Amino acid sequence: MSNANDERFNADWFANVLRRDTRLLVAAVPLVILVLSAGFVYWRQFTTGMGVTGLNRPSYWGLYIVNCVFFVGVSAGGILIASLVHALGVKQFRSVARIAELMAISCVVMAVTSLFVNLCWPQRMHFILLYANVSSPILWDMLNVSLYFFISLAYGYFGTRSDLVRLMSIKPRHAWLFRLMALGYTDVSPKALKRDDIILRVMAVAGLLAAVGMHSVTAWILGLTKARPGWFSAIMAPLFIVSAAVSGLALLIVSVVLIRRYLRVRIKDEVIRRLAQILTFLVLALGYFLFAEMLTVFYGKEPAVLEVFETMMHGRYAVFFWGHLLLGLIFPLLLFGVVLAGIPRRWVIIGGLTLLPIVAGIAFVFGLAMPFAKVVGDALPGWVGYAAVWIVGLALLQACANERLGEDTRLGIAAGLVVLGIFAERWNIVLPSLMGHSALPLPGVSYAPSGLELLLVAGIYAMGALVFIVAVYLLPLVESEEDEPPPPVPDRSGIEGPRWTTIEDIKPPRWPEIKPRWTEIKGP
Amino acid sequence: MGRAVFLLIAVAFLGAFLYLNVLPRFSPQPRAQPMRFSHKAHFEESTCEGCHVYVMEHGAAGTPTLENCLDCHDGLQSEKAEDQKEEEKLVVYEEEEREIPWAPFPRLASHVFFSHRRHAAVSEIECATCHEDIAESLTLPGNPPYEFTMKWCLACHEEQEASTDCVACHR
Amino acid sequence: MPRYGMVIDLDRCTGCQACAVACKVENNVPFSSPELALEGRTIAWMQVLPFYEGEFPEARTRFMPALCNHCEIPPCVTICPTSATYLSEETGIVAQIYPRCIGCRYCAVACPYTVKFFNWFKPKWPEPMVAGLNPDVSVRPKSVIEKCTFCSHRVVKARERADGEKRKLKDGDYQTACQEVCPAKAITFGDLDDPESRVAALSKSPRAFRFGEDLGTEPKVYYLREGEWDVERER
Repeated sequence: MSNANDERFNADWFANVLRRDTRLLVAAVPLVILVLSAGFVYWRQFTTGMGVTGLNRPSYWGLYIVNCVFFVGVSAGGILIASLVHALGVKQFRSVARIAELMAISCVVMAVTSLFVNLCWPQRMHFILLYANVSSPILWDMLNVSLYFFISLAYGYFGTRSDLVRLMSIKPRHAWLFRLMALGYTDVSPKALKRDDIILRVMAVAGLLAAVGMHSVTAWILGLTKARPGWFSAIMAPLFIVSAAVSGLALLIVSVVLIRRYLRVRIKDEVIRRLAQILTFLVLALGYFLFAEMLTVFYGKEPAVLEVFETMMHGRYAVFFWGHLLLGLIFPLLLFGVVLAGIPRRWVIIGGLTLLPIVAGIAFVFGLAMPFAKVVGDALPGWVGYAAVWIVGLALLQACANERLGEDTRLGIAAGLVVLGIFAERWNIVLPSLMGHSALPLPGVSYAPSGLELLLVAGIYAMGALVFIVAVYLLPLVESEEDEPPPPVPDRSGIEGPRWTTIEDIKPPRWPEIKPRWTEIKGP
Repeated sequence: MGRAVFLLIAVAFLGAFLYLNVLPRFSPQPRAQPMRFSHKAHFEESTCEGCHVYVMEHGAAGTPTLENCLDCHDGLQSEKAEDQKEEEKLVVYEEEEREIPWAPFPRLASHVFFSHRRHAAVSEIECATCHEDIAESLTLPGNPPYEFTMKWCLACHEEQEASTDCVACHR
Repeated sequence: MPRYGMVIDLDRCTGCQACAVACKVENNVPFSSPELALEGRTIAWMQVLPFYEGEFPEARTRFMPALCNHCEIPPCVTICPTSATYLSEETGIVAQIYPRCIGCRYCAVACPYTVKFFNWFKPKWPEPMVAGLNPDVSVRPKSVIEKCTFCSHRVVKARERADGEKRKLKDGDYQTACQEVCPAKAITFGDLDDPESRVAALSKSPRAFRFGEDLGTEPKVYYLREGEWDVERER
């Protein structure tokens, strides 16, 4: 199956450039409408005041900041992957490097826009530089994000320009367009390519540093605020970096799977599998960080922090916490395990059902309370609830691990869940600290994003997607590799004698599909 | 080609900046004053305080009311015909029982708080220090005759060792 | 340089809310409404907050007037990206300069006491009230943070008056609106560095404590703990 996939995806390097694709157009129309309506909403917010959002006194920050933090993370994660290729020379991921860069750029656009709409006085924005307060993390975040934005743009430019020059000769009718995008650059001599390689390497390191810096500073906006228990913690920046790598890599897998499905590009199955392997380890690292944080909180039992975590785990948005834990961490890990290790589904169900009594038993012995008691009530004993959650998870795993979906789709599903989980995690970082604890006995007001706020955020998403779509239309999505050019199609008609054999014609020996070990010991 | 686009963007930015920030400063039309009032002529006869009666007592110095004018102006006292024409307007206002519709300039932004008393009475600063040579002018200005910037205020405050605290003026 | 501070005697406070009303009127703070209050969007520089203790027959309520603590080490000042909020060296007042504020609300988030308020909308008053706005204080535009200023416009006036009379500013020349109206004289205000002042003496009382002292923000608002009640019950 994997071979078949590879052949299907062995398209021309530049196949996607300027291809009239109705699907992209159809996708772009609602996106443009969304962006326009978001512009209207922003105007509304600008003229009427921040009151159109759901923000209030303890929750001065809301969805915009969550969004910003999330996209800053995804963007940093994207650059992380791209720089693996160019700075460390991990050639394997070369085919996804450009997609990672594009993702990084469109995500930083979304992050900056989210931060921008959170600000109420765009006409006073230059004050941040004019009357700079060096002790303000916002100043440093703004500097770092802009630096990062320009570095990632330059990085994208230097990584693409040789391909753009090649495109000038491949698509002469639109040469002007590519010349414009290459900013008039036309040199593709081996010397120039070598120089580009060195520039790229430098840019990759700079981008990596800027990405880590940007995300750390973003974390410190929250993490240096001693007024907010839950934020004020040294783990904030490292946790953000790991989350960034996880979300960036996960969203990269999702976009690669989607792009491969719908746009036919040269990305091998192997690459996705490797990315998923790295993601598995990163998700484990994230789990470790979260565990370290939770352990400190629940061991220390500091009342204010405990209050925040109480709000997070049992408050109005508890579903974000449990959703992240169950569907964003544990479930994808299991799914990755099943898919990457090639465990057949019946073993999953057998193993799962074997463990079921143990799970229910633990819940029974420790007398755990009913999960999601607010939704389902607490008439039944707790262990029934845990068993039910286990069975539902098992059924989901069964459905998602279906081999007929193809390996890439299954990994894509897992990665998509991880992305959603990280979004929930960002929410859990930003909001419970605001809603959950106050030194003053304020009337308990919780935060819910208003309709207009949601529309504005949707518009920001649409904008990011549009940037991506435009890039998909204009740029080759996979870096062409000079040292491994696409095999020329030989003109066989006029040639006598032995038939030319191209590398493509030689079918590699078809190894039997890797069968799980236990099928071999099945007997006669 | 690439350069052209850059130039275009730069020009667009510059244009937007000029339109939004620079143009409005030049655009206000001179405001019509009710009469040609000569500060010079009045300053020869009286003091600033004579007409701007609250300058030593309040934050706002105040513009003279018709009553203030009529304290001195009794019928037509001017000698020149053109001056008499202006002076006649006072009589008309009196007959119509109407206040003089001066067009004063809101010189300070709403968040800046200035006290004439503090400067003129308490600290005994000459009017001309800030109002320059308005006392020499022959007509009422249609546009703000001078612009006070915060930098300018602060320069004097620093020199005189007056408060440079933000809340001293901004509230 | 004076360092203005406040002492609030909780033993004297009756929870009458006069200070809250006086503050609103003095500082042009817009009215709230039940809807706004439910949304958590009330602006009240001075609030009398009830603290409930115990269960019904043993229940009791304490009142605590809460306002900006004018910290010596204010977290809001450290993080403001444009220095729109700053610690005045001349008075020790933590002030907010509205035309400098970009509305990022970071200071409101960073304030441990949640006493920075945001103008979610353009402030509105009922028609007859507009004429009664205090001309010495600006009406804030929408989308800026505002906070208690210790009635800083009054210190300017007091200084102007004292300078006019060619004398130094003395204790009691500069009073805040909340202090002025408190019928129980629970609020004392003045220069903490002036050893003669009443506020300096009270701030050294054994009953004195500051709100959230463990945060290291060094507030300049002192509270005097309620005494007699508890002592009697403990005997």
